[in-house]
Amino acid sequence: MSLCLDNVGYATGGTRLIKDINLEIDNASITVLIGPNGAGKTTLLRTVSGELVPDSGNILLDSDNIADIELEQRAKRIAFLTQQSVLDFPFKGHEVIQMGRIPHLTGREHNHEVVRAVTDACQLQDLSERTFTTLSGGEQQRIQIGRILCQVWDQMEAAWILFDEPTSALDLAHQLVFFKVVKSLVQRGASIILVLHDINLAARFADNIVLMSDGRILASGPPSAVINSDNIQEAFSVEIDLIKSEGIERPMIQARVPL
Amino acid sequence: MALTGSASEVQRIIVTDIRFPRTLLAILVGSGIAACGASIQGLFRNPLADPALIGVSSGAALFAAGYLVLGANLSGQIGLTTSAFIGGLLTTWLVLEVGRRGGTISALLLAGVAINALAIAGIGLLSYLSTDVQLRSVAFWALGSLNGADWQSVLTALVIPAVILLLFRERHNLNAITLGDREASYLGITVPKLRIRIVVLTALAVAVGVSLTGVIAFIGLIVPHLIRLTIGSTHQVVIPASALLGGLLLLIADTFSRTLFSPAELPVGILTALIGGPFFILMIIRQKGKLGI
Repeated sequence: MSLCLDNVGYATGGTRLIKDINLEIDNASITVLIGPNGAGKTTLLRTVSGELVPDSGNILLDSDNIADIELEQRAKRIAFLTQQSVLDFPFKGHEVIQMGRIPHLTGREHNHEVVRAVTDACQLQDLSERTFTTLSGGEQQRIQIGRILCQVWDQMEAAWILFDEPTSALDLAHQLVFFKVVKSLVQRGASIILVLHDINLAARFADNIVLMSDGRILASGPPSAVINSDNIQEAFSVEIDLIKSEGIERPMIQARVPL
Repeated sequence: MALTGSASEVQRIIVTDIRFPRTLLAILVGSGIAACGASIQGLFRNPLADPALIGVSSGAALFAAGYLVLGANLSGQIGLTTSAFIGGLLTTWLVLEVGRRGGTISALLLAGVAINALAIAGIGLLSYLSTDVQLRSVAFWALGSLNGADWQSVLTALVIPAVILLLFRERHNLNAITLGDREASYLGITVPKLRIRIVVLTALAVAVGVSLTGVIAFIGLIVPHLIRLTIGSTHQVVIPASALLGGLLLLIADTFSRTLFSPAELPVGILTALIGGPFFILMIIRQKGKLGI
């Protein structure tokens, strides 16, 4: 059981957004994509989701070619939180969360149970009766995360969950809630791929990190193998120092900034 | 005795052949416009979309008027409704395409404004070409009135509840599409097909309504908005509740339009526009910054 990208490339409007992507991701793991703006992280997620069809190579999801999986079936196996979901209608929080159940014909009662379980796990009780359009950016993001989890909640062992910058608007406490929930999902067999900008956060929570630059994979593997000053310098053109912090074995970095 | 007998006979005819079908037609057309408004708003992801505002109704009216003026020898409700349907379909499709190319919701609404203006200009042009008798009918479509209600029109309007049922079947898909086209496709929905289904269904109901009563604006805007404010936003609630309230509201508006300046009758389209216009302005002001414009 894995996700396998074989020589995947995608171009649009004459621009090659990703190229030569070879990657194998085990299931029940956390993979974090990092890299500078425009490196192709979102494009990679969109090809993995099956939305963009690569113009070279192919993507195998548990040995099925992703292009051959029907849209409705795909929605039961892959959940994808995009960066720019805009919702202009005054839905209640729990109504948005419940939209994650749309691909499933599991009945009203079961769906309500799933919504309740997700609400508890993600600590969304305070938001579930509030009107979505009146929530802050971070609160809306938390609800949307709930919706994504709702989509695959009862079949985590077969689920691939893609998050594009899920914590961009979250405060520190809710970032930690998010990663705690993600960890628990992985224990239930879920496979998680996230785009993150915070390299230290990525290094702490990832099983594997994929460092992208200019549409290619620059390095991939466990955090200790990817996060070093040469790789970061090459991808971001920023000089860093590795720092030590008590009780944290994962690599941590600090940008060398003349102050 | 004979006199009272014939008077009650007249009353009976007024009730059964004029008032009763008119009441039913008001309910049917009002429910159709409101349910279509709700569905179009979901599809366009904009609470300000309205079949009349974005030009669907005018497009249908233009084709209905064109049928009447240019094909003067042809007659019959079916030809008229079919023309209106083609007009409604064409304008909805045009608005969606232009709006999609523009890429934003404001492009979509502006496309609707432009197409609406074109259709109204077309109706104006037709009125120059028409005979006096035709002119009255053309004016009727531009204003909207339930004046022509009879049992035949009620029968034609039975298409509308069927359309509402079919729109109700799309309730979960419409909820999903408010999240965005891409988000809906991640939820397993084939968006282009859904779009075609909603466009065809709404164009059909709007066309039937327009061919029977002319353009009645703002019911499709106000009613779903009130439902979202008071009852809820999910389409399993908005579609049926809008249909109920839309039917009721048009019935009330029509009653006022008949009696307000009695014995003269105000076209109900004027009344709904007089109430709906200010309401629309209020919505714009209250939603400031949240319209995506």
